[in-house]
Amino acid sequence: MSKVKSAICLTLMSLLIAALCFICFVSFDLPNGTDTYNSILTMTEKDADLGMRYGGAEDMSGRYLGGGYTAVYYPEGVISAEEHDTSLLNMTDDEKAEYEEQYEKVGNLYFDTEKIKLKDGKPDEDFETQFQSAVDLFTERYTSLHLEDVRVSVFDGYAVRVFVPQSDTAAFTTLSYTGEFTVKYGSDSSSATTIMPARATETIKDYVKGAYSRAGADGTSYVVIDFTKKGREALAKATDGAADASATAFFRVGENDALQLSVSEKIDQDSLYISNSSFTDISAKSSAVLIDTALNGTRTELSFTVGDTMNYHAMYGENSLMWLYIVYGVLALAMLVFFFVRYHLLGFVHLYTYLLFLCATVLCVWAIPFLTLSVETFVAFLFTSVLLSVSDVVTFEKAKEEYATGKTMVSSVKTGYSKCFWNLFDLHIVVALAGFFTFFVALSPLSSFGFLVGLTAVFSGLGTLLVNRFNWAILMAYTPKKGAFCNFKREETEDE
Amino acid sequence: MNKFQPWKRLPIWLAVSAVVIIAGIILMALLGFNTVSDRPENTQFEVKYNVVVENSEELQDKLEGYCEDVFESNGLSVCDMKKATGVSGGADMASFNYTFTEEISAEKQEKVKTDLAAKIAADTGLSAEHAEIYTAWHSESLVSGTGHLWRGAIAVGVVVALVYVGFRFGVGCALTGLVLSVHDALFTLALLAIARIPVYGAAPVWYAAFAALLSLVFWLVHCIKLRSLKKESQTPLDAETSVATVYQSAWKWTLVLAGIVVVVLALTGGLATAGVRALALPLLIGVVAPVYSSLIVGPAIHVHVKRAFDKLSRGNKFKYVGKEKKTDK
Repeated sequence: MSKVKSAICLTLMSLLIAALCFICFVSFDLPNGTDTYNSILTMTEKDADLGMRYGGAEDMSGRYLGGGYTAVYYPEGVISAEEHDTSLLNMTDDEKAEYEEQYEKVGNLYFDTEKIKLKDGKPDEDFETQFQSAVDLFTERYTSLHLEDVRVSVFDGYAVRVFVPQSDTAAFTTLSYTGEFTVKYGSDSSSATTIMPARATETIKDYVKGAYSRAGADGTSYVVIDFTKKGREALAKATDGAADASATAFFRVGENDALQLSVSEKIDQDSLYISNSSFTDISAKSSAVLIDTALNGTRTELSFTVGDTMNYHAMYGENSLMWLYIVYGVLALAMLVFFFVRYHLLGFVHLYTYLLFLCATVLCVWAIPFLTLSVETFVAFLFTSVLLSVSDVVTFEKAKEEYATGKTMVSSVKTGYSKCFWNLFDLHIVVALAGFFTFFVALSPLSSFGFLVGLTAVFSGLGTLLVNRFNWAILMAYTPKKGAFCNFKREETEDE
Repeated sequence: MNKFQPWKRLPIWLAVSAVVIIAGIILMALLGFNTVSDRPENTQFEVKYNVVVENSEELQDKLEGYCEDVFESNGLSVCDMKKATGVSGGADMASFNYTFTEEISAEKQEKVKTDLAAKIAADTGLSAEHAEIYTAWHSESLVSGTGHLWRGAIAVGVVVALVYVGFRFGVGCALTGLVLSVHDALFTLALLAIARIPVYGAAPVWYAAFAALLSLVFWLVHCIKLRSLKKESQTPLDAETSVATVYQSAWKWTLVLAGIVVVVLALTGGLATAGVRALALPLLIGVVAPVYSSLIVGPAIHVHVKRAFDKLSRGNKFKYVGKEKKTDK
């Protein structure tokens, strides 16, 4: 490569890397004093277990920055000690006496004895059975959301606490509904006619196959309900006159509306796509999961109310993300010291390649919706960082061996690369295949680990086999002492 | 290391692996993993306060300090503390949530509440700023099986990668790689179960996946060197000589790679917060298993696998033996 071409390429490459690094890692307050420029890394979604607010942005108007949200579901007739004590504050003595007679303490909860029978200070066996069914139902529902770090626990013995990494209080409410799934059609839910199941001898499964959520290309989330032939006919028949008098289809679970659909024309299709302006990915998922789990009939007779929703900042402890950044900084420094000590200025070749690899990874984790910055993805990234670094060492060492035999630098690089090209190619392909296929089958968090291993293995392969060689060519074009540039030495031969 | 010839003691390595894996499976079935990191059964003390009036760092620290004093005076050791914010009854609330794994009697729970209330009441500044401070004890039992399904993900990922290895390096290499990956995933899970290493509920699957992936990479080093040796050698080498020759350089590469991974993980676990450490350090088991298998079990198995495949390929080759001679009787 000529010196002019090298200079142009080197300038462009340096500018590209500088721009990418700026976009990815630099956050700062804008001169107007109110706005902040956020880097890609700041805006990248963080896992529930991390949670430090990176950069200057303290409040990013709803953007998820890590941590998670909990809500407690109380069965009807059961209240928290806090609610009990707060209610007593504004009561007269008579009201207090009546209230205290009505509510009996069981552990840290209070039971309304008019609604739940207690025996020896504990609820009866029927309540215990119904509660256990409800725990199983909540577990199934929250597991079906396929979100990382979802946790369900029995709280204070007779309440259910859930933890999700994303905030959507509507989803907490939606998933609290219990009872059978029915479809009604009419002007309002109280007077609407039940069209599915239409007869007592039938079940909803005769009409509805299942429900799931989908996201459109424009980001709109939908709930999709698949009908059986009978279900399609029932809906078509009910909505036959909708063009003349519009009405609403109510998709109900128990006594609550899971979804409402305004109908202004006849609906005659196998699948119904339902969305509204307030739908988020999680609320669409929650509605779909609610309907799908309710298709199996009433699993518990209990109904639930949602207690306070609390936001936990970092499940792995405060500043866990900052410590991960520090760990990464130490490792990156160690890597650079190794390359610059062993290969002198050739270390810049690896540095350029590595920075491109790093920026590409950060951009992908930010842009791909199901990826978050978590310990799992961090380890996947470190794994492929090691892969890239080792691969670069292999190429440098092969060229070094060739140079030692007396070849020119250009010839050494060419021969060195040709000797290890297919070995490195195979290594990266195998890691990428293992990563991607793990992603296809696994559930989170293993899936995000697998995907990032696959993706970054591809970046590492491209980096070491193409970008690294290109960088080597453009960086070395100027130096007259190419051996000293790379810290490569000739083998010494004895003169006769 | 040159004198060490693991392929001569295959039954011993197989016995070691079998004992560890079987013992691990039994323990997994009977006791599961030691998921104490998840604190499946815990008691929590919640201190909730209204933040509408004032939420200065100083007051938060003061309240936190009082809680710690009360726990200490009552002989309670906190194993975790998390901060949370939310809305309760229309008001912005913040809370400290202290987690304890020990059993705390109802009397002691009540005493902690009383002691803390007394400290708060004695601090006029705190009482004036935070009129609504509410404390409560809670118990929590984690429900298992939320989102940790295995679904054969690792197996599928590794098998697909090994199909590629089969094309590039031969079926024998792929077969040994498959055995090693499965071995390492199981060996890792078994070691975690036997040593009762504390793990998060979802983590063992991830550790097994990591071990299988690393096993694949380590075995690939052997495969690459076997292929190079085959190309370089003038005459075909027998299975034992090939594996022994490759072993002389492959073990160094394996140990160097494993060393780098160990340093990276140890640094991550060592520097990071306790929560991350609890996740990262057990991952070292996922490095130990692939090192053991690629340095000991792998070569020992591959000598037999390669011998069988070499024999098979020799048997399939047609040889020209010349024209059949006619014999005069």
